[in-house]
Amino acid sequence: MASERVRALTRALAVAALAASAAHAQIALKSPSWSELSDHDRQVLAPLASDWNNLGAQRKAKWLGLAKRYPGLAPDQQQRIQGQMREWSRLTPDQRNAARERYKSLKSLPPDQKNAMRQKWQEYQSLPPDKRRELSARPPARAPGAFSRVPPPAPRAPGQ
Amino acid sequence: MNHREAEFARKIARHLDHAAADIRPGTLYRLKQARAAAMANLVPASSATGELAAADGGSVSDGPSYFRSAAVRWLGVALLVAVAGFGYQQWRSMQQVYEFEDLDLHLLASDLPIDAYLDRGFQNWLRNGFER
Repeated sequence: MASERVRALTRALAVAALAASAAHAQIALKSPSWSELSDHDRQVLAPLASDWNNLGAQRKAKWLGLAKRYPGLAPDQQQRIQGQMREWSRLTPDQRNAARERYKSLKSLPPDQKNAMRQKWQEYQSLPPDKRRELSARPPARAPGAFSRVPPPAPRAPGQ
Repeated sequence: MNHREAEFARKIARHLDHAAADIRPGTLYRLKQARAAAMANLVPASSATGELAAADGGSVSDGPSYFRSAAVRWLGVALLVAVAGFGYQQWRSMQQVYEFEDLDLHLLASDLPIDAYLDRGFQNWLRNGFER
């Protein structure tokens, strides 16, 4: 009798778990085509229109989640996101992961250094192309992905 | 059972038959009720064999029903393990989607362009104190 009950319970559990996982898989693997997207999603994700149908289910889910949060962002942030969407999408997975790691290390910097980074980037852009090429050719001295701390500014001469 | 034992059994049966004739109607009724209850609770032969086999730990003579029930049990366990593994994988995958969604949203909305995160020259330049 007890063994019958154990068997019945095992079967019921297996069937229930199978049904639950099948339902979950249906949700997790949903991969809508561009024409199936809502007007709002199509408008936000417009830079990805030509690549959308080639994206995997996981990446589509990520972009759709991002589109949902898009209206809550400031207009300049919305503009930056749309401006970089296609370029980001066309990076290799390794490049995206490297950029994410560097972004995380940037977030850990003190606020003043974090805010100064945009200006530093512009200064770097104004370097002669040969110099930038030479810097790029050097091996990374620290762990890849780590945004180094910006050295403190040189002491100014008195009176300046 | 040898000859003497068989003879002894026959004698007992004769005495019982003789005594049964003298049983009072009330006692007879209760005996009938008890027999009917026992018959109603009788476990089918195949199931009884399986339970006995399972109870004594199993052996070569356990019969096909034991193997069938054990196979079903192991199949159930294997199915549960497979489903749990698959579910965990799906859950991890969804977690990664949420993590990337949050990270990418902030990265793309940040002041720095994507190139700044990927340019090794920029990283080296920052590290070396903005050499010119």
